[in-house]
Amino acid sequence: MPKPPRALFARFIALPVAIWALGCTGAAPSTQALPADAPALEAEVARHPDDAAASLRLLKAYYAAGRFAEARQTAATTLRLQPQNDEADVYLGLSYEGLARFDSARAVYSALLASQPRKALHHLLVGRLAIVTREELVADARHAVASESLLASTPADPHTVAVMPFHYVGSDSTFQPLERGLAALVVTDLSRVHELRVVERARLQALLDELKLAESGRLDPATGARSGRLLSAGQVVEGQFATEPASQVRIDATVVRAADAQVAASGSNADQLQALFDVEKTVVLQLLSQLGIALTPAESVAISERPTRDIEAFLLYSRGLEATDRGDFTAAAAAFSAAARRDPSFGAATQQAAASEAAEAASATAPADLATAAGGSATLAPPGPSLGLGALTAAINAAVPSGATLLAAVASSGALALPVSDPNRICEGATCDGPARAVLVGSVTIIFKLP
Amino acid sequence: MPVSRGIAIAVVCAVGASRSLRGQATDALYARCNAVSGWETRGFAFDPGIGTKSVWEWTLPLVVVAPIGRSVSLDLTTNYASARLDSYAGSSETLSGLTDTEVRILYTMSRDRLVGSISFNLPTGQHTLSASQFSVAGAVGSNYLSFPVSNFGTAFGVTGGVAYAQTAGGWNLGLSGSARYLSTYSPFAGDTVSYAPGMEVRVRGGADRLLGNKSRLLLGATVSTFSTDVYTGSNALVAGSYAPGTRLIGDVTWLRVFGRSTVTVAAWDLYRLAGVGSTGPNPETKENVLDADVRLTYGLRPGVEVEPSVAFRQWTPADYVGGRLGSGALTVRAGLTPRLALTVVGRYDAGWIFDQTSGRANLSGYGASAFLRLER
Repeated sequence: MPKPPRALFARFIALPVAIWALGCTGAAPSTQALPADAPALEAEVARHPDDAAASLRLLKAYYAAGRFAEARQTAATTLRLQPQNDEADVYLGLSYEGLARFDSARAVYSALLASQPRKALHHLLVGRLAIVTREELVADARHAVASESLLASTPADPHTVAVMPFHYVGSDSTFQPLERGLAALVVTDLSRVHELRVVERARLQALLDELKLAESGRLDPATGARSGRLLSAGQVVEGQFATEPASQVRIDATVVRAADAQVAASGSNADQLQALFDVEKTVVLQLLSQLGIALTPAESVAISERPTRDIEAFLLYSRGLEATDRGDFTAAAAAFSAAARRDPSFGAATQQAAASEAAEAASATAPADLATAAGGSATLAPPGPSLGLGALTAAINAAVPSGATLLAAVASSGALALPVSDPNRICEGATCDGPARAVLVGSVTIIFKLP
Repeated sequence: MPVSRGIAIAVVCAVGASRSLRGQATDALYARCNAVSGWETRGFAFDPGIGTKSVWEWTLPLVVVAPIGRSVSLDLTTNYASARLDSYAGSSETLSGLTDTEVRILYTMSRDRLVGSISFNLPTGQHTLSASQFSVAGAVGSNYLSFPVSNFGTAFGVTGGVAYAQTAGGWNLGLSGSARYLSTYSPFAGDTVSYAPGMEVRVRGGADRLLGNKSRLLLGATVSTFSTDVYTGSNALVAGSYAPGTRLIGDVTWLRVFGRSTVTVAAWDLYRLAGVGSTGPNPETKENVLDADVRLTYGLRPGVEVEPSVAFRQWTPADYVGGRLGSGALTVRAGLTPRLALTVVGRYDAGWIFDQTSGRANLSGYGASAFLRLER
């Protein structure tokens, strides 16, 4: 008599019910794509290659796993399917950061900014750009040091000038931050001269940090010349300042040729501390004169402009530069904001305060949250069983076995976690192990029980 | 016949692909036309003891998957296989030819939620064999050794099934069931014996969930119950029946991502209860196969992975250990183009097999395969 399957159904129905009950007591479902989701999502995307939401989830999983190359490719796929997906754009930028392709990251963020995003996202993107810029400067510095032998044989541009931090030779540490502040002032003044191209202060600082020279303070002509060659700058401004005797300031500066470390120009001036900007500009004009650069009236007027009349505000601004160079955007934002409060007309302080606050916010924001700010979860389909390594596919393949499971094993990447051999496709038939052959064993002697 | 089948496959693929391109947002379980083919060989050599010297098989599989319209996909699987059995007595037998063709139609009733399926087993293979061929087919049909093609052919069959998936808390759950009907056929050439397999009813429950943010655990349990097989014959066999024992399969997989690598630990156990024949229970039909493997999948670069793995298998027919097998394999997967992927596998096995009558024999196995997957 055929065995009624109903009894066996009843016997084993407890199993799925138990699994269901177990599941209901489980943790809340994750709405984020995690590294462990990648294999399942690869299978999902393979099944639904035109599904932008699935592609976006795979992109997130790759990014979370640190698989930035795959993340970048998947971001491109997602954006091809859904060109206006800002969240994918953000992940594309983040993936470029992971690949140390900072220029590409900057291009992505800049394009997003140009699309006039919401205020919150705008703020975060500005901050991300600040972070990327700093990362890029550090990477460039490392690359320059690594390529020093090549750069040494390449003639530097004589019209490109780099400005080293000014070395403080006094004993009052209050004025130490002016090392960077004075360098920033000189950079600003020299950049008014059309004949010159000036290396960004932060770029030179990153190089000095890489060379571990900044803290030593031993910036002699040879060091300056080496730095200039590494930055392809033909001339380097070096200098020092003192604040003694009390309430006085003295600034000495030289221009060193990177090619031969010879001094091409020098300048020096001293006055009351309150006249700091006058002293600095006098020195700058001396240097330009000795270099044979004739200023146009407009350039002279531009150089004569003071960023602020408040020495205390400038000191705070200089502290902000120090903190920025350390990557401490919180301290930088506080210092720049304090400077801007003391002198609301201090434009550079106001700009730097905004950028530092944005960078602080961006650095405190997880990449996933930044991306969410870009697109929110609205572009995602609700998390479904497909996240669970193809729960539906596994179920149907186990119940109605098919050779199609071979597809997953031959996927170019991220095959499903299939067993090497699939027990659901075991041999069934007269020749196979199991019931059918058992029927015939003993009755037909030619059957081999063993291979 | 092979030519006409090839044409049919190509037509299915072309029609499916063209329709899928028209319907970009398909809900079909397989959204693109895919074809997998290649070459695979597996062989085992036995030390003296059980009479069999070696068993080898090579296969040319062909799997085609195509979406048909918005909610339907179709897959087709067939093989050309050749197996050879050599004995220490000096005999050598070979069995070659096409296997049965499976055509499965999947209908997505609710995307990622509910799928119905009907599968047809088309008897394009060789189900009626000579005595010598039967010995080869029996060898490659071993559950212990798991040859790529374990069955050269049966009869026309139909399997209907349905699968449902649902999230519950942090779990993804999948529940499915199916019923399979296989028509009567004659296993032996030159004999009138007729074999009518009973129906198989299969139920599976699966569950998986994340463990932390880098690990996933997958569990599955499948139960198959069979109605009674009936066989009739006039020569060597007489009429009889057999009630096969219930088959249970449990599987567990744990995977964890480590940077660019994924470690997968998977195990399954197949347990078949003893069946009852015309003359009473047959304890020899009880069987257990335990399989476990550990894999490390490492992405060398986008689209290229290497996957070393080790595996263990134990076969327990009746109430004694019938064999243990250790295996090592290396898999390389590479995306040659965005639409063409290559997978190459090499493996080695070592272990032993034991039979209460013949004794024990050590064995070693080798395997290699190369598959190409083309997506349209």
